[in-house]
Amino acid sequence: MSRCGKTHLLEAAVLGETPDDGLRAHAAQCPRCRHELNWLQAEQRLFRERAAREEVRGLWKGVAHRTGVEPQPHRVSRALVGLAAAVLLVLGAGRLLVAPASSGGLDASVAAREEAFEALMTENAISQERAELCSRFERGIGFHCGYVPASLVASR
Amino acid sequence: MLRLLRRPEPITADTPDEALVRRAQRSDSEAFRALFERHALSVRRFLRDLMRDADAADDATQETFTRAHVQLPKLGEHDRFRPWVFGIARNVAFEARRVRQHQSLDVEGDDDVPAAVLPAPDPERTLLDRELEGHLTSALGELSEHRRAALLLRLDHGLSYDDIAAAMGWTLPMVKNEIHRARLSLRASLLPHLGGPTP
Repeated sequence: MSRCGKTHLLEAAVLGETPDDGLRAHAAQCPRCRHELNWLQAEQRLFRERAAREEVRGLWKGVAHRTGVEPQPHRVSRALVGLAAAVLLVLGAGRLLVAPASSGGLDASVAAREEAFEALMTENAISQERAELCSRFERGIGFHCGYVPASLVASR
Repeated sequence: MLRLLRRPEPITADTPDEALVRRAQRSDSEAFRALFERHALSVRRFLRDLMRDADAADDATQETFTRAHVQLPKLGEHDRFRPWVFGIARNVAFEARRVRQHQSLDVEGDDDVPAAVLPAPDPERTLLDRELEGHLTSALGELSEHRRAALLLRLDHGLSYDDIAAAMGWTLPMVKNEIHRARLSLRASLLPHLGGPTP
């Protein structure tokens, strides 16, 4: 386009690939280079503004689906999760090993649960009895009904 | 065990492509996603310009990065992800075009190129409004796909001539020649909408 010998250098300078080295100053004096520089700058501006309007929302999901790539938990997290699982496994196995020695398998655990339920019911009954008796006494700040039912004394 | 517990370097905007490629090649999905987020925008725009169909460009973008993910272990030049992925995108677009057979593969002849010297644009009229963007899009559409691809890689995506040669599978002189001709065509199409003095 130009025979001044510098026009072909303008493109790289405008795109920042090479230093200006006075090319723009030269273009101010050289009609052909000025003409080329005008076009190069116009092209650069048009494409830059056009690029600024672009967006790619939602495309990653498709890529992740097609490639099977999904963000993985960090290795440390995975290691900790594995460690926790191992500890729980060991504890669970320990309980299974200890429980049969004391009362003999499933029957023992059922019996233990029934025993605990009875104890709870007794405690509840005592609490109800105590609440009923205490309600007959005077109430006030700091007052504490120290009544102990006879059934509890007898049981201990 | 120590290797398991070692936390990888956090990915930032300054993390070079080269580092991301190396990590992605070791199945680091965050690194691959970072490469996607860094380049998908321009790859999609490139494909949309080639295919002239936004939906097809979206699909082609996904296909491009799917292929990139599969072929990434083979990428030896870790710092050349950008031209490499544009090369994949170009193949995806041309394959899609062949399937749809919408346009011929003929490269434009010299007769299509306008005279070398055109009036210069008026800088005040190069602000890109919706109307001018439409003219730019249709001006690009007048180019053959190969020539358009080369021009876009240079003007829109800033690839060097060497990188474009690699992406297009052309020789360097051919790249320069095609881009020069494409540029003249584009300028001739845009000129009526940009105005400006004759040199």
